[in-house]
Amino acid sequence: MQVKEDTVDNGDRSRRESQGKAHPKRKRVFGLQARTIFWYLLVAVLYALVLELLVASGWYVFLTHSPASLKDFQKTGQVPTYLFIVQHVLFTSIIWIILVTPPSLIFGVLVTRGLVRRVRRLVDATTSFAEGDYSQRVEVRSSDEVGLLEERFNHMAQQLVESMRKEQELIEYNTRLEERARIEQEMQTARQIQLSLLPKEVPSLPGWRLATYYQPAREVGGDLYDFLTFADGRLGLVIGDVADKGVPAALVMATTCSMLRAAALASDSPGDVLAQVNNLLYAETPERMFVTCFYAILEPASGKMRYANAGHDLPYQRTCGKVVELRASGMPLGLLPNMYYEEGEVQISHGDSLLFYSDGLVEAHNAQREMLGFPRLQALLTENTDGKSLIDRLLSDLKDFTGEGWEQEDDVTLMTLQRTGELEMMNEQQAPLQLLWESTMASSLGNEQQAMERVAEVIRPLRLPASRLADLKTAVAEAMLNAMEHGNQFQADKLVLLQVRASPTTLLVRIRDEGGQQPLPDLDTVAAPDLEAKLTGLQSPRGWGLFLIRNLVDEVHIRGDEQYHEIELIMYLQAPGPASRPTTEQDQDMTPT
Amino acid sequence: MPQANVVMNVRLIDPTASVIDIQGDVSAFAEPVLMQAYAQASTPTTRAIILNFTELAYMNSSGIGLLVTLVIRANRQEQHVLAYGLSDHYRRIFALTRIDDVISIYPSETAARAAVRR
Repeated sequence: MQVKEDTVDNGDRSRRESQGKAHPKRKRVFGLQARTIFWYLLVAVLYALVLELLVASGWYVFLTHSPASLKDFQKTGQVPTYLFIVQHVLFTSIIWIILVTPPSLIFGVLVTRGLVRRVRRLVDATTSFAEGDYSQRVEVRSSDEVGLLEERFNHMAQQLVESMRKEQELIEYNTRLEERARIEQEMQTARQIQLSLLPKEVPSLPGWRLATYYQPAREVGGDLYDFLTFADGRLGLVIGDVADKGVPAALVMATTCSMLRAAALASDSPGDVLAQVNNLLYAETPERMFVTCFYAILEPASGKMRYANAGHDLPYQRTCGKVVELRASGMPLGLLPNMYYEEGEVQISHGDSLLFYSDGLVEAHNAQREMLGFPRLQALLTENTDGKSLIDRLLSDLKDFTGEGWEQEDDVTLMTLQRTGELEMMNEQQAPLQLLWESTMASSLGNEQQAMERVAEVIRPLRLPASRLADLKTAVAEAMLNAMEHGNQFQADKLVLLQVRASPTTLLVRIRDEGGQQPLPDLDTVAAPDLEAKLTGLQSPRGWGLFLIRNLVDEVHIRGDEQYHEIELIMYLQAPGPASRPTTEQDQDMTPT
Repeated sequence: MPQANVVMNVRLIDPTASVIDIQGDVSAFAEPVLMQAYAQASTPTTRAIILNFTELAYMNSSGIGLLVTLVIRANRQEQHVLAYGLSDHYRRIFALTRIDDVISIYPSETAARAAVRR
């Protein structure tokens, strides 16, 4: 069994050692046992010395001559009685007790006095510790067993304090985790509410391109956007932001969306709709909670858009190389009752882009705590889009501005509306026409050559055959001449917008002037000059431009509105299919072979 | 006002034919230069005006209009207008506009002069 115990002990020790918890090696100490023996020997020696002194001084009689010594019986031959023997033993014992007690007392006192004091101190410390005074420690004054006990007590107390601290930290950590999980759950709920309310699909409008981007912040901010489709083809566009975060914001957002939808059915006026929603929200939402909102109604056929604004960031319209704000005044919804909302109207021309956004975009900060801000956003919108969609471009610019590791502070919502041309629409079904280049030029003679060379440079990667390139260059120059002369009347302050777009199959050059007041040329009549009539003076020798344009490119579209004229020159990079280019008899006549 | 980016030299190669060497752009800016060159090239005995487009850089619809005007004037003087040195692109434009019906196109000055002699 001993072997087994040893084995268990060794196993336990090795396990403890492997866990790094081996007891500290026991110190060599001048132990209690040794001290007791030492004190005992010391007392015994001293006492022996005392007895020797007593014997030497005749006091031994007291020890050896009891009232009736047994030796006396031996001498006399008498037999002692039992009583005598008992008396003798008792006497002797008493004498020895008297003799031994003082040294025993001295020895006992010497040995136990310090020991008891230290043990009491240890007991007191343990009691205090058990009652919660974890600062209790005992002073280690000796290296004996009690000293070791004191040392272990201190060590144990330290360990206990340490483990209690760790346990407390663990509890706090778990509490924090639970709290975080709770908040996360709440955020998740808010996000789900918000996402469930946002439109699942972007409406598809012929001739228009709508795109959205929504990225909630970790703490969901209550952004909203919505599309309202009316029976007559009009489209309502809503973008807003609730002035709160989390579930309350999501709930207010949901309420606002419902109210807007209901109000929009009852009124065609964006201002009236916002006024109605404002009153309803004012009555139902908590104090200090409000909603900024921009509501617009688009007539896709005409490109007219009416709008009203309830304190939301002003959308931007990018038109003819310029960026303008869609201004209309009005208080945020839910702040004050019976508010008036100003209405505005804007004409969206072909190629124009509109950006609706939430403050999460403009209020994004970079590492230097600079804010993106409106001027920077406006500048970004003015710049070339490098063929990317507006949203892609803005997100890329936002990333460049904020840098890596940006923690999004608020929801970022973007909504873009672009009016495209018919041809683009047709091509979008096959492959989208990407913007390669866009620029504006002054209406000054000579700029047509600059435009033509610039376009040729932009489309160089498309590797057009030399003859096709020469045709396109001439067509661009002619279109530019017409835009400067007939559209802009060579007025210095009027610009011509040039745009080059391409897909794998199609190249499009769009040239737009500001001559909306001028009549649109009729391709079928103007582009048919009569040389004989010119030679006989019946027609002006000039007037070849549209004719050349029509015959040098594969397809030409002319359109305009009250503000602009626009010509689109299309050249197919591959043989067009019947769906992409409807062929007419006239086309066959006009198309060069 | 931008300046004309064109230079026109007139060569009176014989009493009946003159060559106008055109260097640069034939656009609206070229009108006075072309008309001045035509005036120099057109003598009482001139029957043919040969336009040398070998160094033509750019011609637009206004330039074509100028050529129509030149042909009208030449027709009034009972002169023929010939041309050579046109690139394939401008040959195509001449064909599209049917200018080549009234301005005979030749591949070289020699060919044009030979045509004048016939």
